[in-house]
Amino acid sequence: MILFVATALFSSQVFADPNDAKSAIISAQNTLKSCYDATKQAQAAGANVDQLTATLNKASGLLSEAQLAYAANDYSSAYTYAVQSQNELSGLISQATALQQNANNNDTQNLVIVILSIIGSVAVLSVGIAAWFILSRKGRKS
Amino acid sequence: MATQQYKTLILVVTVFLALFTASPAIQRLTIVPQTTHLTELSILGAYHNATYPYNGTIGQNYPLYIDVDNNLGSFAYYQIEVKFRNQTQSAPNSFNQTSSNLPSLGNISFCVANNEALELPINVSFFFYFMPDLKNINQLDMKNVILNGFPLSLSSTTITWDSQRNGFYGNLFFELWIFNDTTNTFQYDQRYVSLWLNMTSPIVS
Repeated sequence: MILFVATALFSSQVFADPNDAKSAIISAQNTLKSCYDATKQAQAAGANVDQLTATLNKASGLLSEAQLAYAANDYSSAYTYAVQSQNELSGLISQATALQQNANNNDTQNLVIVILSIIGSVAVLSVGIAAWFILSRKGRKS
Repeated sequence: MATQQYKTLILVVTVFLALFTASPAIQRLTIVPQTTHLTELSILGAYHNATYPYNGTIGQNYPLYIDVDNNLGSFAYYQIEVKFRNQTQSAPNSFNQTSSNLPSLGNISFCVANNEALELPINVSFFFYFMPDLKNINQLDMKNVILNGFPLSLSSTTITWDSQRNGFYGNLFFELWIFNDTTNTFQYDQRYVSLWLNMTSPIVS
Protein backbone atom coordinates (compact mmCIF):
# COMPACT_ATOMS: atom_id res chain seq x y z
CA MET A 1 0.00 0.00 0.00
CA ILE A 2 2.81 2.40 0.99
CA LEU A 3 4.71 1.45 -2.15
CA PHE A 4 1.61 2.14 -4.27
CA VAL A 5 1.07 5.60 -2.72
CA ALA A 6 4.76 6.46 -3.08
CA THR A 7 4.75 5.37 -6.73
CA ALA A 8 1.60 7.43 -7.42
CA LEU A 9 3.11 10.51 -5.77
CA PHE A 10 6.43 10.35 -7.60
CA SER A 11 4.95 9.50 -10.97
CA SER A 12 2.92 12.76 -10.96
CA GLN A 13 6.10 14.85 -10.78
CA VAL A 14 8.30 15.63 -13.76
CA PHE A 15 12.01 15.38 -13.22
CA ALA A 16 13.99 17.06 -15.94
CA ASP A 17 17.67 17.80 -16.32
CA PRO A 18 18.93 21.11 -17.78
CA ASN A 19 19.26 19.61 -21.27
CA ASP A 20 15.67 18.33 -21.31
CA ALA A 21 14.39 21.69 -20.10
CA LYS A 22 16.54 23.61 -22.61
CA SER A 23 15.42 21.51 -25.57
CA ALA A 24 11.76 21.78 -24.48
CA ILE A 25 12.13 25.58 -24.31
CA ILE A 26 13.80 25.74 -27.75
CA SER A 27 11.07 23.54 -29.20
CA ALA A 28 8.35 25.77 -27.68
CA GLN A 29 10.14 28.88 -29.00
CA ASN A 30 10.24 27.45 -32.52
CA THR A 31 6.54 26.54 -32.39
CA LEU A 32 5.71 30.02 -31.10
CA LYS A 33 7.70 31.61 -33.95
CA SER A 34 5.82 29.53 -36.55
CA CYS A 35 2.47 30.44 -34.96
CA TYR A 36 3.46 34.11 -34.79
CA ASP A 37 4.33 34.03 -38.49
CA ALA A 38 0.97 32.44 -39.40
CA THR A 39 -0.93 34.98 -37.26
CA LYS A 40 1.01 37.89 -38.75
CA GLN A 41 0.10 36.75 -42.26
CA ALA A 42 -3.55 36.35 -41.24
CA GLN A 43 -3.68 39.89 -39.86
CA ALA A 44 -1.91 41.25 -42.95
CA ALA A 45 -4.66 39.65 -45.05
CA GLY A 46 -7.22 41.56 -42.95
CA ALA A 47 -8.39 38.78 -40.62
CA ASN A 48 -9.51 39.44 -37.05
CA VAL A 49 -6.75 37.80 -34.98
CA ASP A 50 -7.98 38.65 -31.46
CA GLN A 51 -8.59 35.00 -30.57
CA LEU A 52 -5.25 33.91 -32.03
CA THR A 53 -3.44 36.70 -30.16
CA ALA A 54 -5.03 35.60 -26.88
CA THR A 55 -3.85 32.01 -27.45
CA LEU A 56 -0.38 33.20 -28.49
CA ASN A 57 -0.08 35.31 -25.36
CA LYS A 58 -1.20 32.46 -23.14
CA ALA A 59 1.49 30.28 -24.75
CA SER A 60 4.15 33.00 -24.63
CA GLY A 61 3.27 33.62 -20.96
CA LEU A 62 3.93 29.94 -20.24
CA LEU A 63 7.15 30.13 -22.27
CA SER A 64 8.25 33.14 -20.21
CA GLU A 65 7.56 31.16 -17.04
CA ALA A 66 9.65 28.32 -18.48
CA GLN A 67 12.52 30.69 -19.27
CA LEU A 68 12.35 32.28 -15.81
CA ALA A 69 12.22 28.87 -14.14
CA TYR A 70 15.24 27.80 -16.21
CA ALA A 71 17.12 30.95 -15.19
CA ALA A 72 16.23 30.13 -11.56
CA ASN A 73 17.68 26.59 -12.04
CA ASP A 74 14.21 25.04 -11.58
CA TYR A 75 14.49 22.67 -14.54
CA SER A 76 11.44 20.53 -13.75
CA SER A 77 9.13 23.58 -13.76
CA ALA A 78 10.90 24.91 -16.85
CA TYR A 79 10.26 21.68 -18.70
CA THR A 80 6.61 21.51 -17.59
CA TYR A 81 5.88 25.12 -18.58
CA ALA A 82 7.62 24.69 -21.96
CA VAL A 83 5.55 21.58 -22.75
CA GLN A 84 2.34 23.37 -21.64
CA SER A 85 3.26 26.31 -23.87
CA GLN A 86 3.70 24.05 -26.86
CA ASN A 87 0.42 22.21 -26.16
CA GLU A 88 -1.40 25.53 -25.98
CA LEU A 89 -0.40 26.23 -29.59
CA SER A 90 -1.66 23.00 -31.12
CA GLY A 91 -3.99 23.73 -34.03
CA LEU A 92 -3.24 27.47 -34.08
CA ILE A 93 -1.50 27.41 -37.47
CA SER A 94 -4.49 25.74 -39.16
CA GLN A 95 -6.84 28.29 -37.52
CA ALA A 96 -4.65 31.14 -38.74
CA THR A 97 -4.53 29.67 -42.25
CA ALA A 98 -8.34 29.32 -42.32
CA LEU A 99 -8.79 32.93 -41.15
CA GLN A 100 -6.28 34.12 -43.74
CA GLN A 101 -8.16 32.22 -46.47
CA ASN A 102 -11.48 33.81 -45.41
CA ALA A 103 -9.87 37.24 -45.35
CA ASN A 104 -8.43 36.69 -48.83
CA ASN A 105 -11.88 35.64 -50.12
CA ASN A 106 -13.46 38.76 -48.59
CA ASP A 107 -10.73 40.85 -50.16
CA THR A 108 -11.48 39.35 -53.59
CA GLN A 109 -15.19 40.11 -53.11
CA ASN A 110 -14.37 43.68 -52.12
CA LEU A 111 -12.19 44.07 -55.19
CA VAL A 112 -15.03 42.85 -57.43
CA ILE A 113 -17.37 45.39 -55.76
CA VAL A 114 -14.84 48.18 -56.37
CA ILE A 115 -14.43 47.24 -60.06
CA LEU A 116 -18.22 47.00 -60.52
CA SER A 117 -18.70 50.37 -58.83
CA ILE A 118 -16.17 51.99 -61.20
CA ILE A 119 -17.88 50.41 -64.24
CA GLY A 120 -21.30 51.49 -62.93
CA SER A 121 -20.08 55.01 -62.32
CA VAL A 122 -18.65 55.27 -65.86
CA ALA A 123 -21.96 53.95 -67.25
CA VAL A 124 -23.98 56.52 -65.26
CA LEU A 125 -21.69 59.31 -66.46
CA SER A 126 -21.96 58.12 -70.06
CA VAL A 127 -25.76 57.99 -69.95
CA GLY A 128 -25.92 61.42 -68.28
CA ILE A 129 -23.57 63.05 -70.80
CA ALA A 130 -25.46 61.42 -73.69
CA ALA A 131 -28.76 62.76 -72.31
CA TRP A 132 -27.18 66.19 -71.88
CA PHE A 133 -26.01 66.22 -75.53
CA ILE A 134 -29.42 65.06 -76.82
CA LEU A 135 -31.11 67.87 -74.88
CA SER A 136 -28.53 70.37 -76.16
CA ARG A 137 -29.24 69.38 -79.80
CA LYS A 138 -32.99 69.59 -79.22
CA GLY A 139 -32.49 73.03 -77.72
CA ARG A 140 -30.52 74.22 -80.77
CA LYS A 141 -33.13 72.86 -83.25
CA SER A 142 -36.01 74.55 -81.43
CA MET B 1 -35.47 77.92 -70.81
CA ALA B 2 -37.09 74.61 -69.84
CA THR B 3 -34.41 72.68 -71.80
CA GLN B 4 -31.67 74.61 -69.94
CA GLN B 5 -33.23 73.62 -66.60
CA TYR B 6 -33.42 69.97 -67.67
CA LYS B 7 -29.78 70.08 -68.76
CA THR B 8 -28.71 71.41 -65.37
CA LEU B 9 -30.86 68.84 -63.59
CA ILE B 10 -29.39 66.00 -65.68
CA LEU B 11 -25.86 67.26 -64.95
CA VAL B 12 -26.50 67.40 -61.18
CA VAL B 13 -28.27 64.02 -61.07
CA THR B 14 -25.54 62.40 -63.23
CA VAL B 15 -22.72 63.69 -61.02
CA PHE B 16 -24.56 62.67 -57.85
CA LEU B 17 -25.34 59.16 -59.14
CA ALA B 18 -21.80 58.69 -60.51
CA LEU B 19 -20.27 59.65 -57.15
CA PHE B 20 -22.72 57.45 -55.28
CA THR B 21 -21.99 54.46 -57.55
CA ALA B 22 -18.24 55.01 -57.29
CA SER B 23 -18.30 55.42 -53.50
CA PRO B 24 -16.80 51.94 -52.71
CA ALA B 25 -13.85 52.70 -55.02
CA ILE B 26 -13.46 56.28 -53.70
CA GLN B 27 -13.54 54.98 -50.13
CA ARG B 28 -10.72 52.54 -50.88
CA LEU B 29 -8.62 55.18 -52.60
CA THR B 30 -9.06 58.03 -50.14
CA ILE B 31 -8.79 56.32 -46.73
CA VAL B 32 -5.08 55.84 -46.19
CA PRO B 33 -4.20 54.27 -42.84
CA GLN B 34 -2.21 56.63 -40.64
CA THR B 35 0.60 54.64 -39.05
CA THR B 36 3.56 56.06 -37.18
CA HIS B 37 5.49 52.74 -37.29
CA LEU B 38 6.80 52.58 -33.77
CA THR B 39 6.32 50.74 -30.52
CA GLU B 40 5.49 52.67 -27.36
CA LEU B 41 6.97 51.33 -24.14
CA SER B 42 6.12 52.62 -20.68
CA ILE B 43 6.33 51.51 -17.07
CA LEU B 44 3.73 52.15 -14.38
CA GLY B 45 3.80 51.71 -10.63
CA ALA B 46 1.58 49.67 -8.34
CA TYR B 47 -1.46 51.91 -8.87
CA HIS B 48 -1.21 51.93 -12.68
CA ASN B 49 0.20 55.44 -12.58
CA ALA B 50 3.57 57.19 -12.21
CA THR B 51 3.88 56.39 -8.49
CA TYR B 52 7.11 54.44 -8.64
CA PRO B 53 8.96 52.79 -5.77
CA TYR B 54 12.00 54.75 -4.58
CA ASN B 55 13.41 52.31 -2.03
CA GLY B 56 14.24 48.69 -2.69
CA THR B 57 13.65 47.11 0.70
CA ILE B 58 14.80 43.52 1.25
CA GLY B 59 12.04 41.03 0.56
CA GLN B 60 9.33 43.58 -0.21
CA ASN B 61 7.24 42.90 -3.29
CA TYR B 62 7.01 45.72 -5.84
CA PRO B 63 4.21 45.34 -8.39
CA LEU B 64 4.98 47.08 -11.67
CA TYR B 65 3.21 47.23 -15.04
CA ILE B 66 4.92 47.41 -18.40
CA ASP B 67 2.75 48.74 -21.23
CA VAL B 68 3.57 47.99 -24.85
CA ASP B 69 1.64 49.69 -27.66
CA ASN B 70 2.19 48.30 -31.15
CA ASN B 71 1.91 50.93 -33.91
CA LEU B 72 4.22 49.18 -36.33
CA GLY B 73 1.55 48.47 -38.93
CA SER B 74 1.89 44.72 -38.48
CA PHE B 75 1.57 41.97 -35.87
CA ALA B 76 4.66 41.83 -33.63
CA TYR B 77 6.41 39.36 -31.35
CA TYR B 78 8.32 41.03 -28.51
CA GLN B 79 10.59 40.08 -25.68
CA ILE B 80 11.39 42.09 -22.55
CA GLU B 81 14.87 41.49 -21.17
CA VAL B 82 15.01 42.22 -17.44
CA LYS B 83 18.40 43.52 -16.25
CA PHE B 84 19.88 44.98 -13.08
CA ARG B 85 23.04 47.05 -12.73
CA ASN B 86 24.96 49.17 -10.29
CA GLN B 87 26.12 52.76 -10.93
CA THR B 88 29.12 51.75 -13.04
CA GLN B 89 27.88 48.78 -15.06
CA SER B 90 26.79 48.94 -18.71
CA ALA B 91 23.50 50.73 -19.38
CA PRO B 92 21.39 50.95 -22.55
CA ASN B 93 22.25 54.06 -24.54
CA SER B 94 19.45 56.19 -26.02
CA PHE B 95 21.80 58.20 -28.26
CA ASN B 96 23.74 55.27 -29.71
CA GLN B 97 20.56 53.17 -29.61
CA THR B 98 22.40 50.23 -28.07
CA SER B 99 21.35 47.80 -25.38
CA SER B 100 23.26 47.10 -22.18
CA ASN B 101 25.85 44.34 -22.57
CA LEU B 102 24.84 42.84 -19.22
CA PRO B 103 23.24 39.39 -19.44
CA SER B 104 19.48 39.29 -19.09
CA LEU B 105 18.21 38.01 -15.74
CA GLY B 106 15.04 36.74 -17.36
CA ASN B 107 12.99 37.19 -20.51
CA ILE B 108 9.27 37.82 -20.91
CA SER B 109 7.82 37.01 -24.36
CA PHE B 110 4.51 38.23 -25.76
CA CYS B 111 2.71 39.16 -28.98
CA VAL B 112 0.78 42.33 -29.74
CA ALA B 113 -1.53 42.78 -32.73
CA ASN B 114 -1.26 45.89 -34.88
CA ASN B 115 -2.75 48.99 -33.22
CA GLU B 116 -3.25 47.07 -29.97
CA ALA B 117 -1.67 47.47 -26.54
CA LEU B 118 -0.71 44.98 -23.86
CA GLU B 119 -0.05 45.46 -20.16
CA LEU B 120 2.35 43.04 -18.48
CA PRO B 121 2.08 42.74 -14.69
CA ILE B 122 5.50 42.23 -13.09
CA ASN B 123 6.29 41.54 -9.45
CA VAL B 124 9.83 42.25 -8.29
CA SER B 125 11.55 41.90 -4.95
CA PHE B 126 15.21 42.13 -3.97
CA PHE B 127 17.51 40.20 -1.67
CA PHE B 128 20.93 41.54 -0.72
CA TYR B 129 23.24 41.82 2.27
CA PHE B 130 25.80 44.17 3.69
CA MET B 131 29.32 42.95 4.40
CA PRO B 132 28.90 41.94 8.06
CA ASP B 133 32.57 42.02 9.02
CA LEU B 134 33.15 45.63 8.04
CA LYS B 135 32.68 48.42 10.53
CA ASN B 136 32.19 51.11 7.91
CA ILE B 137 29.72 49.56 5.56
CA ASN B 138 30.17 51.02 2.11
CA GLN B 139 29.34 48.03 -0.03
CA LEU B 140 26.19 46.06 -0.61
CA ASP B 141 26.20 42.61 -2.23
CA MET B 142 23.16 41.68 -4.28
CA LYS B 143 21.97 38.11 -3.81
CA ASN B 144 19.03 37.81 -6.17
CA VAL B 145 16.01 39.43 -7.73
CA ILE B 146 12.70 37.60 -7.43
CA LEU B 147 10.89 38.16 -10.71
CA ASN B 148 7.28 36.91 -10.87
CA GLY B 149 8.12 34.37 -8.16
CA PHE B 150 11.35 33.07 -9.70
CA PRO B 151 14.62 33.80 -7.85
CA LEU B 152 17.22 35.01 -10.38
CA SER B 153 20.81 35.11 -9.19
CA LEU B 154 22.61 38.46 -8.99
CA SER B 155 25.50 37.26 -6.86
CA SER B 156 28.19 38.97 -8.96
CA THR B 157 26.69 42.45 -8.52
CA THR B 158 27.85 44.75 -5.75
CA ILE B 159 26.71 48.30 -5.08
CA THR B 160 28.92 50.89 -3.45
CA TRP B 161 27.70 53.75 -1.28
CA ASP B 162 26.72 56.83 -3.31
CA SER B 163 27.85 59.70 -1.09
CA GLN B 164 26.20 62.35 -3.29
CA ARG B 165 22.76 60.78 -3.14
CA ASN B 166 23.23 59.09 0.24
CA GLY B 167 22.28 55.54 -0.64
CA PHE B 168 23.05 52.27 -2.36
CA TYR B 169 21.48 52.77 -5.77
CA GLY B 170 20.64 49.90 -8.09
CA ASN B 171 19.08 50.25 -11.52
CA LEU B 172 16.37 47.83 -12.58
CA PHE B 173 15.67 48.18 -16.30
CA PHE B 174 13.59 46.49 -18.96
CA GLU B 175 14.81 46.41 -22.56
CA LEU B 176 12.37 45.84 -25.42
CA TRP B 177 13.48 43.39 -28.11
CA ILE B 178 11.51 42.57 -31.24
CA PHE B 179 11.52 39.44 -33.35
CA ASN B 180 13.03 39.96 -36.80
CA ASP B 181 11.47 37.64 -39.40
CA THR B 182 14.45 37.98 -41.74
CA THR B 183 17.19 37.04 -39.30
CA ASN B 184 14.90 34.78 -37.23
CA THR B 185 16.29 36.37 -34.04
CA PHE B 186 15.27 39.03 -31.54
CA GLN B 187 16.86 42.44 -32.05
CA TYR B 188 16.98 45.40 -29.67
CA ASP B 189 14.09 47.76 -30.42
CA GLN B 190 16.01 50.78 -29.03
CA ARG B 191 13.58 51.21 -26.18
CA TYR B 192 13.94 50.64 -22.47
CA VAL B 193 12.40 51.75 -19.19
CA SER B 194 14.24 51.86 -15.91
CA LEU B 195 13.92 52.53 -12.19
CA TRP B 196 16.67 53.65 -9.81
CA LEU B 197 16.11 52.14 -6.38
CA ASN B 198 17.77 52.94 -3.09
CA MET B 199 18.51 49.54 -1.57
CA THR B 200 17.59 49.61 2.10
CA SER B 201 17.11 47.18 4.96
CA PRO B 202 13.70 47.01 6.60
CA ILE B 203 13.47 49.22 9.68
CA VAL B 204 13.21 47.04 12.79
CA SER B 205 11.15 48.70 15.52
